[in-house]
Amino acid sequence: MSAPRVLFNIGGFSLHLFGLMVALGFLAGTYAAFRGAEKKGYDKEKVADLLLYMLIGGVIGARVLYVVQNLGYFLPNPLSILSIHQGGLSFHGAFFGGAAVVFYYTRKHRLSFLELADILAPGLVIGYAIGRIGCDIYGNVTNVPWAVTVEGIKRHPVQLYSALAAYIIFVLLVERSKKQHFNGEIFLLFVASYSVYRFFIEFFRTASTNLIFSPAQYLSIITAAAGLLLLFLYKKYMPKQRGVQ
Amino acid sequence: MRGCCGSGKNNNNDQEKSGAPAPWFLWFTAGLLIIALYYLLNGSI
Repeated sequence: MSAPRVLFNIGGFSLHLFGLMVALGFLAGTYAAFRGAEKKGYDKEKVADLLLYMLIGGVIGARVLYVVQNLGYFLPNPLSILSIHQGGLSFHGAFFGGAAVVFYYTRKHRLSFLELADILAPGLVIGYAIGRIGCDIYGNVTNVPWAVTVEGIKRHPVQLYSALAAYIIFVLLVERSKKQHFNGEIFLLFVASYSVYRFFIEFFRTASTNLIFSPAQYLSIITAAAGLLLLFLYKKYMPKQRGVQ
Repeated sequence: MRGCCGSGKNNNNDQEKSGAPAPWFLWFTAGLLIIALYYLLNGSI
């Protein structure tokens, strides 16, 4: 890990590269979600409202899971839980926080959770790809020709691996959505492919742990298995949806 | 089945005639841009 990269300072305000890329990722994700919503005849304003709630739920979920994963640090320093600006967010937490918001929203407005999840999944993954480019967590020490030099040490460019993997998943989801067979297919494909990617990327990231796998890897095994199982069951037992292209 | 294949072929011909680049080319170019952007931002740390 290196110090957060600051693009510029104005007065007391500093713009971090990570913050900028997350914001750009959110915009790209919003655009992709709008395109998906338009194709399925959803009201754009409702989707915009939902995205805002998801952003709030996602940040809370991301912080909560990060704190739970690092209780050893946060229990003696409970006030530092609020210091989000110092870093420490978990994408898995953001995902569960955002999914909970979508679940509540669809129940309240009597919408299909799976249909909305299909619309939102490509936007989520392209936003993730762009956000990762600005991430400050580099990989393990290596000598590969494409390594990046961080403070004089060559490291795996894990942010690039993550961004490319997420981008490939995005292409896969967009192409698949053109010949989608059932509601939930795109969302489940996202859950399974993201989990597989996340499991493997963890081997290249700096993480000191006494466990065989990191907590994110254990979680990825569970979500990958659940995603693949549901994908298989839905494909086998769900009738082809009318209105799904 | 034959009709299905035939209609697909016609679509491809239409795309070629329109002069628009193939989707795989656009996806591939965007992927290269991600790599370029990453190394541009991480050239000197």
